Amino acid sequence: MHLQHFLLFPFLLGLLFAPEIANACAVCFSSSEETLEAFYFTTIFLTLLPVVMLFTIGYWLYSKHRKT
Amino acid sequence: MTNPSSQSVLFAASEVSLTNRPKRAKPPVSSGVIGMLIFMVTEAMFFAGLISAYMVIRSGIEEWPPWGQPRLPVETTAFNTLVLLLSGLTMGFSRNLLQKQKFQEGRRLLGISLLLGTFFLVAQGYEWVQLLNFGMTVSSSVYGGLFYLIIGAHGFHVVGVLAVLIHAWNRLGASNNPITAEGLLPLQLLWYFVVCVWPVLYVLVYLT
Repeated sequence: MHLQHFLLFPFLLGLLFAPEIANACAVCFSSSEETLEAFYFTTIFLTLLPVVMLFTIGYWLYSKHRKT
Repeated sequence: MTNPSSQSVLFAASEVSLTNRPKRAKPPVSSGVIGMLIFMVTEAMFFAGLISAYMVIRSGIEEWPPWGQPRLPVETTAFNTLVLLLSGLTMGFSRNLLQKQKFQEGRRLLGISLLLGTFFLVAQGYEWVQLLNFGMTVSSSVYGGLFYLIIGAHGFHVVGVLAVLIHAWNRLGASNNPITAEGLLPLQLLWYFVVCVWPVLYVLVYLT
């Protein structure tokens, strides 16, 4: 067994456990219930907002086109 | 090969078809308005991103505003909010007058609207100076950073739209290449957007 392979195994093992230790996620600063709710709300908000806006504009243009 | 008589018939037929061709219908909505609507969608998403970031960050901090940071001037800004809403209202009235070809009155109301917008901007600037004197800066806390980022982004938009509207206001009465009521509409829409976003930001940043 080469030295490189010998070092590779603990490195890969370390990668498996590192995220739990490092807490490296940019938004994992709080684990409170309020933060979870804020994430849910903003995800829904940011998903639906463009759909609602584009649908409204599209429908408005369609109704204007039908009138003329 | 065709003979001269058949050619003349052909040209005559083409002339008839050209003159009888129906005129191109005027589009129901101008390109400027559609372009501005698309731009406003992107702007709305920009502010939605800022609002979402504010909500998520704030939810993770127990004490809000953080200890040692000044409280925001809620009452003064409420008055300022009314001024901005009034500016949007006068903008709407000026649009009605301009559509009725009453250019002098419409231009006057547009000027009042711009003055109100400028008042809002100056009052916001004064508020910022006061907050900076109290020690609230971009780097003093997350609170300060978010405040200056969100309110600053809105203020930057107000400055931009005001600058373009002042230019349009000058061109409204110009003898050379004047702007029409329809040409002014996209800019007015952008002003309505800036006015409508502000109450949302006020409630979010100042009241909650």
